[in-house]
Amino acid sequence: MNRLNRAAAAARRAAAWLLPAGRREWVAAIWAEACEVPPGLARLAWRAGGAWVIAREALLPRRLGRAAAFAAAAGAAAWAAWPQPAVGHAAVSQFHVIATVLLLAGLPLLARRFFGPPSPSRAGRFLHVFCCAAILALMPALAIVEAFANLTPAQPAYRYVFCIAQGWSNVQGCTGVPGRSTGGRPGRARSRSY
Amino acid sequence: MTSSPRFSAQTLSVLAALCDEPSQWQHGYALAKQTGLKSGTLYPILIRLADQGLVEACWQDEPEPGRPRRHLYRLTAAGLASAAEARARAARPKAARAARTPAVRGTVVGVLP
Repeated sequence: MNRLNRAAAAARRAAAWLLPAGRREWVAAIWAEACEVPPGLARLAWRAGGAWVIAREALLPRRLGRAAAFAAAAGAAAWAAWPQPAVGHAAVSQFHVIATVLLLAGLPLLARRFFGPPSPSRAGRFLHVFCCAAILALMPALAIVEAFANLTPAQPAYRYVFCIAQGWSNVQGCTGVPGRSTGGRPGRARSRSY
Repeated sequence: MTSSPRFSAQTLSVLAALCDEPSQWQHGYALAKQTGLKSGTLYPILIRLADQGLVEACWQDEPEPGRPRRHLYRLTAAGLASAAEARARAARPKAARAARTPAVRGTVVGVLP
């Protein structure tokens, strides 16, 4: 048992080194406080909480990873949905693409600012990721539909779907979609200016 | 105009526990008992509050013999102000609901035969 305790203490010390320097004393505080918790399951649960704090703090960079993943997915979707010069007015406008990406990136921050932190539930996280992925997937999908089936002028319902996806409640504003010009990919636009 | 941050229900319970005796240093285990939070929830909250400058922490000067030094926590002046504002904000909707309820009930009773 003594050996087991020593091994657990060594593991705790090693795990603490996964944390930034400013967080190590907090983990030490949890372990020190464990001595005050009644022995048995309660103390075990307290130490498990300490292990959870280490994992949580050590994995904080994962949030940066999530932000990078979102940026990559949004960039790829925007690139795929960017208006092509060849497909005329049927292409998704540059304004739509940029507005959608900005809305997806900014709305969670605004919501957090005004409505507080999101629910920590797994269902809430899943819903957030699913909705972001669905809207990002919708951008190139609509661009493809509009470009190849040329459905936009005949069936404005597609435009409404896109507008609703962007959270636009003003349907009147969507019917006269501004910025239908075909700017082409950013690289091409730059090369044309020479 | 500055606005104080919004807190989760768990954070509010920690702030409320620290507000009970704001001048006293409190231990993590005592806070856990008061709030009913597990250590894995309580300490991230304390860490975040300390990062925001709302809670100050220090190590016990004279530990009990045979025991490790304990970490102690209390609210800063900014923490006290934030906690008071957050508690007032949390109480406001309840008060508004309580004020509305009799009128609504009266209307319903009046409509029913």
